Amino acid sequence: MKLGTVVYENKIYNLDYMTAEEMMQLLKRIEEDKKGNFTEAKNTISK
Amino acid sequence: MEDLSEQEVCIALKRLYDETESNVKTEAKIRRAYVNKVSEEVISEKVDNQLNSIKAEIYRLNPNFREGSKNYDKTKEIVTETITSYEKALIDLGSFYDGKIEQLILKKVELEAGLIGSILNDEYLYNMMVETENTQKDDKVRKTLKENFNNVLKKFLKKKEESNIADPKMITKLIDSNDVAGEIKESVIDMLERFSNEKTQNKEIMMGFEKEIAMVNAEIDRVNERKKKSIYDAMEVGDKSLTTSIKRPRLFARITRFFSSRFNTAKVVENTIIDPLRLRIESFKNNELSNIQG
Repeated sequence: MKLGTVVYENKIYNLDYMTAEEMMQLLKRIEEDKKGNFTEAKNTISK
Repeated sequence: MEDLSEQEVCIALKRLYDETESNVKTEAKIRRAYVNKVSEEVISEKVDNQLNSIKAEIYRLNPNFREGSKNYDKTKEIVTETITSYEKALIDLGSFYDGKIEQLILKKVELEAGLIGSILNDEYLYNMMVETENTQKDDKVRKTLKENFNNVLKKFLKKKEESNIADPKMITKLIDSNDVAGEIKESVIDMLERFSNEKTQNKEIMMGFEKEIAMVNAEIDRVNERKKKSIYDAMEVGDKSLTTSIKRPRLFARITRFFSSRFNTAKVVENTIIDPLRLRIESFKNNELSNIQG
């Protein structure tokens, strides 16, 4: 099944060749990044 | 200086918005792939285990039954067909759960888009408040009115000084211009209050989104775990191993090469190993799988 590729932090990830564990690690990094962005946005507004 | 910092805020927010939007999309794609990959890995492990069990039992039945033996090709075909059917049943089971997770992923994307929208709305409301406050400070209309009021007041006072009589027309003019200034002030205060209330409500909306996103994340993990367990438990024989369900001919342990030539291994494999597995697959499809799918 073709899962495709994604680009994150200037790196290309081929999802077909990644294990579930590797995908989970990548998901955790993206989740952390998003949380950081939301917090930064809220702090920027409240200034 | 104030304008520049507002500009910086807008640029910073735009950057954050673009980054977050990209991350939300990337995360949704990877999460979908992850869920499929988990199904794939679990199903692959289960199918491999089942195939190894069959091979182990065939070996126990007759260690000499291998490539090149009589009827081996037929057995190989039957085993392949049964394993394919077994795998398909597991894939159908996995797809049911993956469909549920897909809905949750889409809901999460919707919520995160809502959260980004709320943050920008907060910035919009903040800007409106700042703008309205500034308008209040250097409103040209208000200034003009104030000037007019002062001019009329001066004339009124001068006339009163000269003639000691209060001109009613002048008094009316004074009251009117004061009223208009008052009205403008009131409407600005109303707007400030409204934006301030909307900003408070918006903060509550943002908190609501964050809470819901956390709940959806937890639900996705829960359904994924339930799927794994369901696939692992599907079509298992429970505590009994495959070997105990095999009926062997009497005195099988003493079978020799002489007897094995009269012994149709392929038939025994089909009857004692493959048929019970076929029955389990059919039973699973007709009962558990159709109950789950509804």
